[in-house]
Amino acid sequence: MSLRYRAVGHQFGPRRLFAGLEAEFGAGDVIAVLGANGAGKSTLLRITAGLVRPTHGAVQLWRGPTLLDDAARRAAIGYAGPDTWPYRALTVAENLEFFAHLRGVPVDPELVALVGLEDRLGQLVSELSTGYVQRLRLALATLHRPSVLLLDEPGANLDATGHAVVAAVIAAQRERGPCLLAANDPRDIAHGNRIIELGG
Amino acid sequence: MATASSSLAADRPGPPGVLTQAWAVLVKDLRVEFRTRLALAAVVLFALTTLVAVGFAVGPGSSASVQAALLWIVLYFAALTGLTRAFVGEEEARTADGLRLAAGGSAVFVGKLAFNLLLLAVLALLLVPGFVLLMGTRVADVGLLVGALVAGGAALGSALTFTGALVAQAHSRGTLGAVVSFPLVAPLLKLAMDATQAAFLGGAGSGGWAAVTSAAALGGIVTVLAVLLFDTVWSA
Repeated sequence: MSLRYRAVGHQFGPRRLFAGLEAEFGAGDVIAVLGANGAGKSTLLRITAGLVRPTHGAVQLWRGPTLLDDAARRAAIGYAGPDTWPYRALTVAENLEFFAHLRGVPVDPELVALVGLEDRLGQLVSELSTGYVQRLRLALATLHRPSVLLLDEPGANLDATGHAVVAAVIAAQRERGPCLLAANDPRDIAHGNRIIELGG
Repeated sequence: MATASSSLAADRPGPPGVLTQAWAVLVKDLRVEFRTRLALAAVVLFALTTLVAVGFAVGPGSSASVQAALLWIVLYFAALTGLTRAFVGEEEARTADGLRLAAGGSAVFVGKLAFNLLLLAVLALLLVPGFVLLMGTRVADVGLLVGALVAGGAALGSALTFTGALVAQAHSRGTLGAVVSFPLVAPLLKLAMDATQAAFLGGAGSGGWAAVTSAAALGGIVTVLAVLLFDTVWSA
């Protein structure tokens, strides 16, 4: 799976965030997206996920010689960001089962153990700490084993054990395809082996 | 340049079909509603308050046309209160993006529509008998009344679900929702009121079933268009 940016740019009204982004990434690439607050890190991830349309250029996902359409792209991408919430009125297990059902995959007990949620399955999300909500976001982003993983501030609100969970999730992703990290935390940035710097 | 759909391109089974995903959305919404009762409380409380107010203000003895109009006005505004929450609630809870990434737009629409139709059915079951009792309404043709409620309610549910999704991300969604839904809802309400009035009055050749059929057809057109257009609406 390769992820290609073709002259991608984005602006909100007259305010330009970034322009002319050209890059290509594949399996094994962990790309740290760097930049000051407001540089467009989260927006670039949301554009890559297909949640925001870029004002210029295109983001493409290729499987070998085949360009994926929107539905295939949706199935190939996993996204975890602070602006996406699981359902607070549902338990952890119900959230996992719901999204697994939508994706057409079973809930993998190994994934649940990897993110450290096995003792929280029956707990309502509204009763979880922010750190455990973040772990659930990571689980929901990866339960369909995405070819491209997009993590926006993955270490936010996580303790040392939680950061180890992020490291394990990224390590697992390296074999499947590229992983983009929008991050300010040096511990998150350290996972990157390539860089996109915005607003430089 | 080759392109691929999900089913052809994936190296594992593709995502489930529309109906399977829609069922998951419906079950999820029912589970959330069972725990929070947000939509049901909003709809039922609005309906009961309005019903009592209408009962005191107008009361028994009003004409069949006035009673038919009042019944559908109460139904419409109660439905507007609850049904548009299907998508607004997802945006407010910031769960919409997760849903966008995991499910196709058509499946989400069908699942939300099914939930809203169930909600509307509960509303009608509670509201209509209370209305008939409070207003002293004489229903001459019960079958036609049921037909009017089913066809008009389904069409209203579809129109409000679709327009609710259109305005869910807007800031002034209340006003915008009313404006956007007006061209769809106004003819539906007229047909539903005509059919209901005919059911109250009875008598052959009153055009009641023709109005029911027209409401059902209009609702069907709205639903088909909504399902076809919803991927674009949902992802935009």
